[in-house]
Amino acid sequence: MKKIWIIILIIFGISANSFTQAEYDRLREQMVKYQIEARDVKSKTVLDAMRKVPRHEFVPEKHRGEAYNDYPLPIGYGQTISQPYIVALMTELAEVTKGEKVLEIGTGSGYQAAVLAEITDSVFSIEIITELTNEVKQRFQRLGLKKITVKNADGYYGWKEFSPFDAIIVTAAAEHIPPPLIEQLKQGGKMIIPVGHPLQVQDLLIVEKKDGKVRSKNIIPVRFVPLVRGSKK
Amino acid sequence: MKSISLSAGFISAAIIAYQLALMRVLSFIQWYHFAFMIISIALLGFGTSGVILSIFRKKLLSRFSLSFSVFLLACSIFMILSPQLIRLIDFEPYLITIDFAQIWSLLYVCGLLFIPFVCGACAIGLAMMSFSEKIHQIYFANLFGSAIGGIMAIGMMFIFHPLKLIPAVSLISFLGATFSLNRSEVVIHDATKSHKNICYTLLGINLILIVLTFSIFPIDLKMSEYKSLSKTQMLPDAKIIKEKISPMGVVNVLESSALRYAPSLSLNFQGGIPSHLGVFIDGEWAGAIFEKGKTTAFTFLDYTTSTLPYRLKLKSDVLVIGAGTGMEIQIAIQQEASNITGIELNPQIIELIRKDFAGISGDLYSTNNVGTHKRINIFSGEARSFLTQTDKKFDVITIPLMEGYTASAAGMHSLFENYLFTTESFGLMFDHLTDEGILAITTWINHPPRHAMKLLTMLIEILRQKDIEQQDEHFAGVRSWGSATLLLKKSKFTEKDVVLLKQFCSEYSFDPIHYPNITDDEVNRFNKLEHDYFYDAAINIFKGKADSIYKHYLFNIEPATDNRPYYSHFLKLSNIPYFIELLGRDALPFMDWGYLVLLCTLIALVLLSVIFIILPLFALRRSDDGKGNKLRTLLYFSGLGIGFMFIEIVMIQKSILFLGHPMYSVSAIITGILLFSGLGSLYSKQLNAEKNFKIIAGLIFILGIFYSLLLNNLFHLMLHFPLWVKYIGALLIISPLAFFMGMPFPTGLAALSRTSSSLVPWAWGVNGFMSVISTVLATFIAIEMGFNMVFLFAILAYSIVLGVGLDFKRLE
Repeated sequence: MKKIWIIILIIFGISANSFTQAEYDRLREQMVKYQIEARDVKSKTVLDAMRKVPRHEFVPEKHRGEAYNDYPLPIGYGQTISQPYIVALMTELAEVTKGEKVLEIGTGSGYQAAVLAEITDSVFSIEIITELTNEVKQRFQRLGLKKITVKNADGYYGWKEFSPFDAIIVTAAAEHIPPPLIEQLKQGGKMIIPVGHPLQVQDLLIVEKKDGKVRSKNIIPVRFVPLVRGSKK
Repeated sequence: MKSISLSAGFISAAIIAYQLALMRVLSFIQWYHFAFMIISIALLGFGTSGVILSIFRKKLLSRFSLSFSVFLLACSIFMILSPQLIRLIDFEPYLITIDFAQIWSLLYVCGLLFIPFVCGACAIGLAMMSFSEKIHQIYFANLFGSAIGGIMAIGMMFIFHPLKLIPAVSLISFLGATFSLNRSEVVIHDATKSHKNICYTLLGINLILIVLTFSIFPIDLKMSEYKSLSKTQMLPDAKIIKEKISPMGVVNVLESSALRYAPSLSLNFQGGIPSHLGVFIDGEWAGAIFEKGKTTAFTFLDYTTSTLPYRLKLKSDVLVIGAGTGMEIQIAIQQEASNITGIELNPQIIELIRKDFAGISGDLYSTNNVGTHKRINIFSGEARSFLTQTDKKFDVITIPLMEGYTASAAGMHSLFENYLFTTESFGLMFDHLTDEGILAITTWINHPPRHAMKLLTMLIEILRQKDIEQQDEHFAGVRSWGSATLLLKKSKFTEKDVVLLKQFCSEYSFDPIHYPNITDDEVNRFNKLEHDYFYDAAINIFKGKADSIYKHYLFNIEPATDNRPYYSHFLKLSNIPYFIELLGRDALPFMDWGYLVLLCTLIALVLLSVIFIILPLFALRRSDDGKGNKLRTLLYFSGLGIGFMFIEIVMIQKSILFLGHPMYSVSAIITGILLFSGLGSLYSKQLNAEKNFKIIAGLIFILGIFYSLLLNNLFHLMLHFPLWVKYIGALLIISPLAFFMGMPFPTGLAALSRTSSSLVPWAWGVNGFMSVISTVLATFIAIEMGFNMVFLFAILAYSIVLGVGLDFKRLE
């Protein structure tokens, strides 16, 4: 009978929230090794940042046990926290270095901003949903993340006051790319946008501003490359 | 006896109406895939009722009155109680791939919704079992009630919001139960006082539940927070300012200062997007209503790939197919089209622009023919019907982007039978072009490319079908970072066209996909892909390598046809193991959600059929009078279930184009088939169906073949008639076949009840199960092999019925 109860508890994920700090650290290390490094994210800065940020602090209580698993998770309000690999890949593609200014559109759980804040001191993040903004501000305060400036506003207009930005990361799939964001991107800067199904990001769009021209480029996450090349078996 | 038939009729009406109501509710709060789930749950209820009736046959028959009434009332009570109990859990099946607890939620929901169906089916089955000598009457009541229930449900959908439909429908079953209890003592004539008390207590509970649901505890099921409407409602100052209801869906108009729709806009655009209202159908994005006058110009529209045809064909006479909320019409105005005709399938959308928001849209769809838009004519209806009825030729025929990006990316429409995006449809459009006319279709680009690739193969296929020489000089296309616009020109693209197209690309940073004499270095410059799949595909198809591309491309990009009208279906079954091996759970986006739900449903149903059909078969072997030929019974009633449903589905499919909308087609064919099958059942005794079985089965066979060959021509002759004439026409056309299709079931059941009555409930269950499997299986066969094959299987199923049923003594 006892065994049956244990199985039921496992199935319902009830035991999932009882990890210790050490276990979370171990899971995070494994996440970086098997989900990110193994998929060709090479930037040491990005890998270090991913090792430092406690992802479990950014997911709802009931999903904490799954925080380091290889998939996105719901955070309420119809929003999700991206898959760890996608966060790492977007950060790597943005090529942010220490001291550069980054703008994030769609703070969500705040995880992407926290990863960026491990790399540079100037992270600006805009969230349109008031409830999420309030939650994330409290979270940043609790975790002592002081390098991130968050505001509750419509990200469409960017943050002119602090522009231009070296990189802009738009965390929600968009049907069009807001012209004000392109305008606030520095010459030589990059904007990264995930495209596709919100629960399963399939590819990323990079918008580059160079020599007065704006161009886009589709980047296929490494695990999808065989699909795109059609190299079946 | 009459009251039993009446109750059976009422409960049948309530069950079918409830089924349709649930499909409507789940399409609204979740997605339309759940239609399949509901059909399956309902028919599973019918199958299971056979098992329950088999196992508890003696007990139930000895207390018929009580059992019958309790089943009726339980059905009615759970019609309300089940949806109310869904509220107790967190039901978000959208998250099922990342939150496995949702599987339990889904099972909980399925289990709850199963109860009213199984109770209702037990009541009908029990009546058939108890009054086997009057089985034709009860079966007639069952089918006639179902037909009426279907019509009533569609009618109610014009009046009630989806969430209000359920209590409204439960009223039918409640009235049926009340009516039978009060009207005649036949139902409870043998009941003891305690039995009567039970019945009246249940009746009281039912009434209280209905009153409470209508007043203080409405069925308040929340829309998935992942639907576009739910997400948009979280924007600042978002509020719904208009709601319209109909069987086609709930239309919501939302306003918010943060709403901006400019699909796949060029990266070069630097201005502002005018404020607008958002229109949603069943919670999914359906278009924007731009506020004329609040902004000086719609300049941003110039920066979309959709404007290309107007750049090549100035002052053109334009036909916009799928005018929607008017963005494409606005583009045509902006590009100074001389004359604009718009076709929109959903009359509610036209009404929104023409009446409700005429002021905001600047009388865009005005019928008064005054003001600035006197060159615009908007028609409500199906585009192919429209084109078939007109000889008019157009300079530009255009189909704009029709769905939100996310829905497109998620394979939400993979099961949607889309008769607009078939080679026959594009061929018809091509025939309606002027000598230098252009057909222009815009679609989203997803990665790896699917929609745009299939569109490309289809358009080039049209050139092949029309025997056009130098096909590569009639095809062109451009793409932005997110969308592609592909063009077919009746005559060759001229040098001037090519110059204009190049200028257009350069001005807006678009990449050409194709034009005559395009070279490698002219593609993939502004919006870089790993390599330009579209350019490669077009070049190779023009070199005659189409078959090789269809075969080797990872997705199904073979042109969709009327026989397989699944434009949004891309999954190749043979590639599923490869996707799973390569991507594990990340393979899901490539599986096409709708198709996956269909596949899972089919597998689950086959498993459940084994549990509920095969296992009871073994149990029955030991029963006292189960000495009949079980294999013959199984074949006979399975064949009937499959044949009946397959014919019904093919008929629905064939009349979609004729009646112009799937909703009309479904209601006309289902009503016609149920109604006339019911009459067939009623008259089967008079016509001595058992003795004349060979003739009846033969007639079904011959009529079936006749319809498969001539139905399209018959419909074509009537295409120009008004809708109501066509609707009645469809009902009458289906009547002879449906009449004879109603005979084999009650005839077989009556024969069976004479010597192997213990097999009667089982046969009832087998038929129910096979009907459910057939519904899903028919769609599956249609996707993989086409509707002609579905029809062939239907004929095969009836051949088996004919073979097995030739000698009813052997069946017994």
